[in-house]
Amino acid sequence: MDSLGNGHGLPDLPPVSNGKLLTSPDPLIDAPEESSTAVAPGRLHRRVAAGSRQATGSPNWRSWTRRLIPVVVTLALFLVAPQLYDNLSFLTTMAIYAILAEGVNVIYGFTGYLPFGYVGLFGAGAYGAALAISYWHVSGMVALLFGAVVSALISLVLSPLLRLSGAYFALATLAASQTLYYIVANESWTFGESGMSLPQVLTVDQIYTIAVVIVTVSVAIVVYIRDSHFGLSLRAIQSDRVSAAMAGVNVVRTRTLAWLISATLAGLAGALWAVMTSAFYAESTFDLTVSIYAIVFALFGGVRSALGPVFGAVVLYSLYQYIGVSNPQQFQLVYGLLIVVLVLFLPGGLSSVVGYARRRFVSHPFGRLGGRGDREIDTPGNTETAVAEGVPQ
Amino acid sequence: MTLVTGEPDESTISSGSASVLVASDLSKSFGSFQAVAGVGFELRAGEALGLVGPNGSGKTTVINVVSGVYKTDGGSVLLDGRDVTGMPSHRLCRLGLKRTFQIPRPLADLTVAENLALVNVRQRSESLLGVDPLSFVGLDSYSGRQAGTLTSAEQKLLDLARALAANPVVLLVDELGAGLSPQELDHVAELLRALKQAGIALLVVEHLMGFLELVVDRVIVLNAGTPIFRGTLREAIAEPAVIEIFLGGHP
Repeated sequence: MDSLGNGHGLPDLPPVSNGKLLTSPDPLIDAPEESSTAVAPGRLHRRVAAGSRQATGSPNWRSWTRRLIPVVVTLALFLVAPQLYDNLSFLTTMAIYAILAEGVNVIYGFTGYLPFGYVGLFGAGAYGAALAISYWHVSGMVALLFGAVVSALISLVLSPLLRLSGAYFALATLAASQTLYYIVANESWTFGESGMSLPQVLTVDQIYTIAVVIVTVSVAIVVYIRDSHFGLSLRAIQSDRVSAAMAGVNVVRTRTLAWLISATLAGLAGALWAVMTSAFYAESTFDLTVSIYAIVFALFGGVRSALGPVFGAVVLYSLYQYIGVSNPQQFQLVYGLLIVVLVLFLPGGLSSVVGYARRRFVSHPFGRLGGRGDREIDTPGNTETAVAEGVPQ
Repeated sequence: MTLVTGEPDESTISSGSASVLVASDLSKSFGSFQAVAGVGFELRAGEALGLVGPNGSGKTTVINVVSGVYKTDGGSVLLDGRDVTGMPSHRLCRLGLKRTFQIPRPLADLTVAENLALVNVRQRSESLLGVDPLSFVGLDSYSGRQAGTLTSAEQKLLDLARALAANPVVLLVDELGAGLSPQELDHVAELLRALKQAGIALLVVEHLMGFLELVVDRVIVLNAGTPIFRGTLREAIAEPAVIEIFLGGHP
């Protein structure tokens, strides 16, 4: 194949312009030949690893605090809430929205895929649980698992949509959720005509407890993703798919896994909602405002942060409860203004304020690494457009 | 440390190291346009092969086919004797075949360190280079910077460092020199020669002949997707057929 050489070598090409290169004193050039190589990689690799895992270069205990704080705060928040406001139905719905917002965080925050039809997965979970109860009279816990599995399976069927990007993915998931809605609303085996009516399989207290556990777990999942190589791979895919693949990331498997995690959270949220509501129609389940709320809550709190979406859900859903129920029009006005302000001045959400404040006012012991590249302060480049996309009300 | 090891003759092939990369009869067409036809080459450890030719002659397509970005329409690619034809990029990366891009493609939203860390965990093989890739290219003081904020020359170096972090056996270098200043070119040429010394096989696509002269052992000249010349760069630039495709036909 390769006509190697024409018989004669050219070992002595005259050093025309490169004599200086041969005698270059640059230690980097000579390094490969020397035994010092055994020392250098360890030190430098550690530095690279430290720089990536902990942008602030914190010692180990501090990184563990950083991981535990969001989980503990979430748990404490939802455990204290019933003492402050005695309306478990409201608090459970708030927890359900927090789960959904964290689900949006996983898929949108880390991969940039905006799941506008997220309500489809929520509805799949709701109907998965409800049908399991209706047909097989399963217990509440089994029904919740069933809802999660149905949602996960549907997300697997939909996973080829991940080949689309930007608005196309958002619209395709919207179409998928509408398809699901029309199937559920029209089939007799889904009680499309009469609507679902479930016996009470779990008490109100049990449902709230389970919701709190799931919110906490979802925050823990986001913390894991944020700090792990898996999360780094996801952010790499968001940044540049081809380049990520060249870096050894299995793009299809990684993004499908994120989509699956996100769908499972949506399914659990839907199943919880179904068990809590016990009587509902397809119309109220596959309501597009569920998608919109989940996305807006996540963005308001700040995606890529573990606590942000939970705060977003707590703040905005409380606002909705305070104004929205009595004065829906006023609420829509406040809501619309909030979104405009968010898009214009705070594309990174609430958590970016926290990050900014910390960067600004807390001294960095390792300032060298705590500069512009501090990862949790990063705002995804397309947040602004996405908020705009997510808000055609 | 010789500048150009020269064209190894048949005896050195049989006694020397085996080829780490063997591509034969690669072809790729886009619709009715035949971008690459019947391109083949062998690459031994520590050897640098240049791929030259006018714009649109299929140099980058060859790299894209070998690196798994495009599926080849025909032919085969062997890496260390293993058939890797049509294998996706991420698996090739783990087997030790890496590339850089003509237009650097760092993961702009990630920090320089994260760009490297993404690759580091995946590495399977021993590093031939033996030093930290970031300090090798001279970017170690930038590790906390967001990759998108680097200059294009720095992004090229980051691209190279990222490729090296995967401990490649074969490195495909796609116009690393384009757009660099003379000093930067010298620096990059030095780096590539150090890689050769470390035993990494290089396939270098480049327009800049002066740069190629510093780096490659031999060249393949492509025209319209087909190899028209194989040999040393010196021989190539003396070859009438090569001169013709670069400068136009004889009067």
